[in-house]
Amino acid sequence: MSLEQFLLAKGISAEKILEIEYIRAVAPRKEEEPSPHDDWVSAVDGSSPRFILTGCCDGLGRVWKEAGLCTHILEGHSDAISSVSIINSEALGSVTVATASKDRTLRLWKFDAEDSNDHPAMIRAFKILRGHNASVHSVAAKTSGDMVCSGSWDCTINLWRTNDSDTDGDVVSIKKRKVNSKAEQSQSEGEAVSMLVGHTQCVSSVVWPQHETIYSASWDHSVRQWDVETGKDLSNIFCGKVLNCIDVGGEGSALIAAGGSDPILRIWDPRKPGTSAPVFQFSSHSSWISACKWHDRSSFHLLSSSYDGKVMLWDLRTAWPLSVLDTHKDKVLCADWWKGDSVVSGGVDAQLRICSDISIP
Amino acid sequence: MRRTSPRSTTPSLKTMNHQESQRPEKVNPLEMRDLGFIESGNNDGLDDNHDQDELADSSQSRQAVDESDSSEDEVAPRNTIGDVPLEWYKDEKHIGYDIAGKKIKKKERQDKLDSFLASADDSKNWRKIYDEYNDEEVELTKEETKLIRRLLKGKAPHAEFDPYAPYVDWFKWDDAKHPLSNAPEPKRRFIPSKWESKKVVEYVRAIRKGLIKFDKPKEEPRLYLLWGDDSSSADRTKHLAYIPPPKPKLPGHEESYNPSLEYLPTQEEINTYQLMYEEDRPKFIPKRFTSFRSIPAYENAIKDSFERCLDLYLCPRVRKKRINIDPESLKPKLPSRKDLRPYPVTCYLEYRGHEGAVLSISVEPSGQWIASGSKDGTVRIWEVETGRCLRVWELGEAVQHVAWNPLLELPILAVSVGSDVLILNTGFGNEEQQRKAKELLQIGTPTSSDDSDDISSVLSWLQDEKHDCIRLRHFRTVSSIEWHRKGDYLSTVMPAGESRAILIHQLSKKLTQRLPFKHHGLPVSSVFHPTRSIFFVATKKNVRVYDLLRQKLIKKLETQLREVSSIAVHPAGDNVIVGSKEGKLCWFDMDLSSKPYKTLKCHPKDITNVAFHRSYPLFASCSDDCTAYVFHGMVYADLNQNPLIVPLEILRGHTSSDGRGVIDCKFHPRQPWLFTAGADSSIKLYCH
Repeated sequence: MSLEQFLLAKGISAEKILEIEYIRAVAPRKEEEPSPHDDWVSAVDGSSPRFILTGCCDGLGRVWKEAGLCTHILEGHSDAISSVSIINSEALGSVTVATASKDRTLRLWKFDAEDSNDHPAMIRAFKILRGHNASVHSVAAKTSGDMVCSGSWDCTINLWRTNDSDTDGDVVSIKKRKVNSKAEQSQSEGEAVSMLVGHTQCVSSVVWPQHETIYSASWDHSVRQWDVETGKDLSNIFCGKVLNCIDVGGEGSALIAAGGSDPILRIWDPRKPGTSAPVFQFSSHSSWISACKWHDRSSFHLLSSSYDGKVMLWDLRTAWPLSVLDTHKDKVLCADWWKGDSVVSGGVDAQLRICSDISIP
Repeated sequence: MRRTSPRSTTPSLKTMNHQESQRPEKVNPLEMRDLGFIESGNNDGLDDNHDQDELADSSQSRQAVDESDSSEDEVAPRNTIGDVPLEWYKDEKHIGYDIAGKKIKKKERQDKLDSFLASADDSKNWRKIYDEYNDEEVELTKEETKLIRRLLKGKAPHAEFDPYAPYVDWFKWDDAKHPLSNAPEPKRRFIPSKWESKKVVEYVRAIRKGLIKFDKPKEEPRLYLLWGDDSSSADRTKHLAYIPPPKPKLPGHEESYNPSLEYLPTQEEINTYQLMYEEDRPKFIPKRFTSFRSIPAYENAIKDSFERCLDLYLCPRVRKKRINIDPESLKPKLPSRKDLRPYPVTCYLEYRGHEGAVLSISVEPSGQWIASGSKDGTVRIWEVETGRCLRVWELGEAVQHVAWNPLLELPILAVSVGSDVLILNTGFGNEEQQRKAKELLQIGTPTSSDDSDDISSVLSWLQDEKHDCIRLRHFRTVSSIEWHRKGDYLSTVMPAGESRAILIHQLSKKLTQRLPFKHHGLPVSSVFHPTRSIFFVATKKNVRVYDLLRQKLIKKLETQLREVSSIAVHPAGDNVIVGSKEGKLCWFDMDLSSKPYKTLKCHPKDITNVAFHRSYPLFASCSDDCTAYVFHGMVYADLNQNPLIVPLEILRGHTSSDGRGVIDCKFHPRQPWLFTAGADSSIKLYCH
């Protein structure tokens, strides 16, 4: 609708002074080639600008340098990968990543992000973290990179050290294994450093945004904030719906965004005293929300993906999505920002899709 | 005004006596005056039959009457000191106080000589009296002296008073209810009256002689009005209930023998009447006749009057008593649906992959996976959260029923395929759990041959190599499987199995036993009690409740349904819901009675399954009409409070296939979610 039409429709005289507020359109201008997987893409992490890490339901993790270019394949899980997390990406040589899987283990992997071959290199985990009694649902790395936490279907959150086996004290056994081709790699097993107990149902998502705080969302309808040092939960936001994803960011890196078993994306401000009502609610999706992520530079922008096959970009200042990406043919299981101007998402159609050239101020 | 003199004078007389006792020769002049007035009033009273006199007298006696009404106190003496000894004032200069409180001065006293001389001179001296109280001399009048004289003689003081006046009886004796005297009843009241008997004899003689004649009895009229009303016209108008018959319509212009031209239909119009339906055709067509002579007889005269009579006779003219009851107020007060949240409302997830109708679903006790069995011969396991199918077993025959073991640490699945029951290892759980499950699913020695009873002939425990599971071969088609809560026993129902229709298998010992009760009717389903060793068997008509420990029948629930299709037990164990093939759902409160507490008729078609939620106060029924109903079913710990049942939601979404709709429904064990399995080969998850 043009301005003239608007004035006519509302019966406003052209003499009148109108105040026009606008939000800059945020929409991807480029749609990259889809990167095919063998099975459902269940997890994606785009926190490193150099590569994208995806987890797949066939139990393999993949590293993508760009759209359609797979550099590494992380092999070892016996069941579907449910979550991936990049632990330290700044290190020049090797990059450490963690994957969580339905086979009740987490695995830590190391690879060199720079080398690129024509064929993707197969990599085995250097450390297997055992301790969960049920499938692990989510993994998140500490910002400093020396610890990861994981949420599992057995209602617990476990904290693990990511240090190499030689410096780590609590290594139980070190197995030397011949890997069929070239390198002889040591594969160590790690045990949980501590366990955060409090959730009564499956912990579906964890984030570790600050040094000493972990946020977790669970199927028992609550969002909890944990103090890593004491292992106690500091606050408890009750939602009423099953929660599937959580992210912390936005203004002051304090807003909690969570989505779950209903089409509403909720955002809480835990700094607001005495209330557990969400400060924002976005309800343009039509099915469960599978992922939500804050933009790491802008404090207003976040994305959400849903089982209705759409990824939506949101601005906190508007009630409607800035743009809807519906390139997926089926449920979208995971989505993340990449390089600050792209959205990567994976879903049931076994494709990793990258929408780039999003101008975010 | 009609005061009789004796009454009104009594007080004055009394005071006079009193004063006389004090000073016998003196009379209070005021009282004398008073008496005088009464005299005149008295005259008046005595001659009260003369009205004119009264009127004439009344004017002059008015004041007197007014004064005579009041007592002596009102004619205030000059002195106000009251009845005190006068010697108190002997030495004072005053004798007392007047009404205004001023002192009354004593008069100048004459010396004795002067007074004597004065009295000797004065011829009227004998009439004068000194009033010591008021300190004045009073001269008595003639009447007063006469009055005193009469008093002295002992007569009535007034000359006019007649002590022998005729007695006037003021009391009306006629209709006094109670006797005024308590004198005993006189004798004459109890003996028959002589005079009356004389009178009776007189009458009897007169009748005999024919002097007295009686009226003849009135004759009843032998004719009655055939067309008249039963009630007289006066009767009718009196009662409100009477409604006069409606008057027949009066003839109008068109029915005239010579109507105006505009009433006459043209020939075309008459022709169009022929095209109309008979009911719509006008009954009367106006016609014009030139003269009275040419008017024919009205052929419908008898028919019309007959119809009028029929109308009057057949249509009851009765005032209807309408009771104004708000239909809303008749509805039971139910809590609002908003307050009963959460409950499943919308379908967000669908599990697709089966190629035939899904006949049965079962949710893993932790709620992470569901298993489904389908008509296409496959058993599938799905991840609840994403809808991913994890495992498929091809069994080759329609899967009737699937059931997860209720133990979390024993991830095995019981599946009924035709006449076999397969106990499958799902492969979930950690290594320890897997090892145990595998151990359990190994048949070491053929133990079944040991017991030589009839069971071995109808059932065998076999090891199935292909699926790495146990195969329990029954002799008839197994329709349903139910696990005991401890996960070791499972019961199977073969509807065609007659006396061995229900078998209970023990997995750890690989043993099978028959239910040690006599079977009645065709068994449909069986359920274990969630906490106690009680076993429910649903037959087509009734539900029987057995105690397995004491081995006896506890209760028989009479469903009053045509055909029971499914049964579910409340997690507390005291309430049972039963679904039937006619679409009725019965809720039994076992503590209340063996009759249904509530019967809900909601589904237009067969109810295929019913389910209770494990922790939320919810239950659901699914039906072949492609819907599932969700109810709130609150059971209170207080035994005085009946369960509260509120219908919450109708869940639609499935499509019909082969005349079947939703075949199975199960609640998520921890969330208020409902899984429904449809004949359209899909499984849907309804979330809150």
